[in-house]
Amino acid sequence: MTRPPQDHGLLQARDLVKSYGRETGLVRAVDGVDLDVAAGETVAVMGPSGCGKSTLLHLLGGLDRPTRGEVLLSGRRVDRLGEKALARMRRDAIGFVFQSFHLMDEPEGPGAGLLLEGIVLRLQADLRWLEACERAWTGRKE
Amino acid sequence: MQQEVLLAMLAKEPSHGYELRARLRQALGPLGEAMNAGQIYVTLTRLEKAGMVASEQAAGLPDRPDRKVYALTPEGQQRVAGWLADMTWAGPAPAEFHLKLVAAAAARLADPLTIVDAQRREILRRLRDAQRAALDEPDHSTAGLLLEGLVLRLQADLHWLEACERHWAGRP
Repeated sequence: MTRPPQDHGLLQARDLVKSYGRETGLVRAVDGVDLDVAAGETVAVMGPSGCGKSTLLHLLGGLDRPTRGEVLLSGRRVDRLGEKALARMRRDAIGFVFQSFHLMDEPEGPGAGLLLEGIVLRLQADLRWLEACERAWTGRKE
Repeated sequence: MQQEVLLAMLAKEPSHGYELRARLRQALGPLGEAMNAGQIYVTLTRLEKAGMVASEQAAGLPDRPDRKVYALTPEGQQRVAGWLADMTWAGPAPAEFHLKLVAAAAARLADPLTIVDAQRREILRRLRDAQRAALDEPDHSTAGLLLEGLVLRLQADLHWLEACERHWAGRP
């Protein structure tokens, strides 16, 4: 990979914001994050459940688009890439290991927690797809 | 073919069966290849019997098997409105596969890990096919959007199979 301009890092985020909902229902999952990660550097993001860690990682990995701000990979704007370019980037340049669930207490029988995990994973995937649909149908009639 | 889908497509304008088929193929892309015309006509016939659509013979094409033009009735319009408001979401639980593993392990029919492995190979194959098909679609294609949904689902299922593998590896 080419060295990014001004040597700020391989992966950069600038004033990254991701919000859901509107008006009184507005939730800012990620609110103004700046980040510089150099090649070879290891970064840990810590925080309680629901504080926006996964949303931040989804934005950095090109799995989701920010409401505001920039994500740069090797100096290239990722948040503005089209769906195909994003798909190629995810295939070629980004590795993503999803968090696993630990629903191992199973009061409801063998593997009931495991089945719930499958449901959660599918619904999360479907939510991401609904967002893609929202983007695709914005300003479009057919 | 699901009745409500055809009804909702007829909401745009009265159509021949073959026009509906062409619109469906356009929207589904490679995922619509398995769909045959017969399914559409069978569904349209049922809808007509149920009073959801009315048909008229189209003039000038006496030899065509699909010479009827179908239009929505008020009952059909009502059904479409109900369908649009219905928030049912298909298939969020991979319950059948889960029960296959549970039953296979309980009766010692097969090693759950072998089944998981075979299933993973199948899902990876489908994922590759879907990703290839998605890259072949032009930008902003509705069929491409559907393929994106399929890819996301398959990726979620792959992650779940990893969880299945961990689970069943821990209990012989």
